[in-house]
Amino acid sequence: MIIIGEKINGFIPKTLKAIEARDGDYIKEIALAQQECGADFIDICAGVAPEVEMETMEWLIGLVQEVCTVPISLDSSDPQIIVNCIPLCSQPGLINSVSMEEGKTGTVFPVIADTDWKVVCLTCNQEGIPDDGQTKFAIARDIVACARSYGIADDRVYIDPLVTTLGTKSDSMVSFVEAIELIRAEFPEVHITSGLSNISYGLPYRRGINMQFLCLTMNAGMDSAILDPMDPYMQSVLYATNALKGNDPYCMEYLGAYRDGLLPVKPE
Amino acid sequence: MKDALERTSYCEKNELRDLWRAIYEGNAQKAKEATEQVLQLGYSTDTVIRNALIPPMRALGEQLKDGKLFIPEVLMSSRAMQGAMYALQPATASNQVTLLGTVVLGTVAGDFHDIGKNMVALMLKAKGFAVVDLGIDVTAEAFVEAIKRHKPDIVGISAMLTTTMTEMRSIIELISAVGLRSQVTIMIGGAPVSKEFAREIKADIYAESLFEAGDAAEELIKHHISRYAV
Repeated sequence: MIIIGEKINGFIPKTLKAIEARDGDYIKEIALAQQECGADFIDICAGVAPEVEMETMEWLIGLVQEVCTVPISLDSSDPQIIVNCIPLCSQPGLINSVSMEEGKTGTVFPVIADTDWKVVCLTCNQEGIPDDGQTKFAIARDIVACARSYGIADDRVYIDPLVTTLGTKSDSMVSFVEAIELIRAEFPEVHITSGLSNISYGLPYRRGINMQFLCLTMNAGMDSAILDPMDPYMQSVLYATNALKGNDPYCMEYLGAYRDGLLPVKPE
Repeated sequence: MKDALERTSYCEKNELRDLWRAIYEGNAQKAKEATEQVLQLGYSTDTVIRNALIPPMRALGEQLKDGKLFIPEVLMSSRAMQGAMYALQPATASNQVTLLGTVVLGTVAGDFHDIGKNMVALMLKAKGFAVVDLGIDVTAEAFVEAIKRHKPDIVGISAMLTTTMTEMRSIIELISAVGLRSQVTIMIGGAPVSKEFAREIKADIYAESLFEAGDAAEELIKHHISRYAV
């Protein structure tokens, strides 16, 4: 699993407080802690007003690069901000995210075409967010075709089939899994990722829903997730599902995670 | 639930109480049957809506806010209310010989809340308006299209979040930009919306509750002015 650490995000109240107070130590601390818990990318989302987004991104990128060796995931809904942040990064990372709406791919794809940057692409378009697997897949196919036309190899593309909320739509995960299976069958090299916590919105014991959702979607072929790597419950799902799928000979990784204190129980 | 029932004195009669309960429990079939039954007993559409449909929905809304109930439960009750409305339709049609007017309703783009808007739609239908419900996540363009197509007297816009209420301004601006502003009265409502905000974005009416929305629409058609004007 490719883990995108979500904690440096201005939409999280504690992080926003640190951003507003320019508390660089807190940012560095959670950046490093996420890397130590196995994050493959450190996501950076300023979550502030558009006028100060660029300077905030620049400040955050500098801090994360001071302490982390893993690459950055540039998280903004403004493709121009993303493009402007690329030269600030010391190594190619991940762009989070683009979609086929409003020419976002047109702004970002030419810039990353001849680089090693990877890109998260959402399955939404001008008509909004589809809630059936077939339409999600059709949009994913358009995205892959568009990326290929810029010479962006399939394994640099991360499709996020945008999960809807279980509380308002009973087949949210069913259609999400259908999309995963269709994408997997046609584009084996493409990565599939998800922000996933939207699934449990409005329901009690959200963690329980999030955990089982992660397990079932990993089983269907999702190979990346945007989550809090410091959450031992999510870690237990990541390691246990990997082992249960037969990908962890002698359960060595699972046992390692236990001994490293990543699981919700203390090692004896 | 018992407490909520007790508080509604109108439900002393068992027939209304059954409908109340069916709505509260989200049983669409039972709600439809109970509605047919109370109509046969001679209750008017207005009485049914005010005393057996709105109170349980309001109680559900409060309990949702308090974390005692959850979204799927409220959605089930919305469905039950639709069942009741379906049964009320023939009665509404025969009660109102002529339609009062047409209202286009919708929740702004990016916002998926529909309970409040649906209750306003219900109220307006009960008063004899033709209601064109555009649903949730409605763009400014879709509002403009609907105005061109349905030529409504009133456009009702709902938003439930501080982050989506600003979309109301864009909708009104687009309606003005395409030259349709003078043809419609714009009414807004929703949890974060205020009279000051309505004035600021140049809406015509601010309705604080579904009752105000219903009264404002009726006043506008009958007297060309409303006490809820901003």
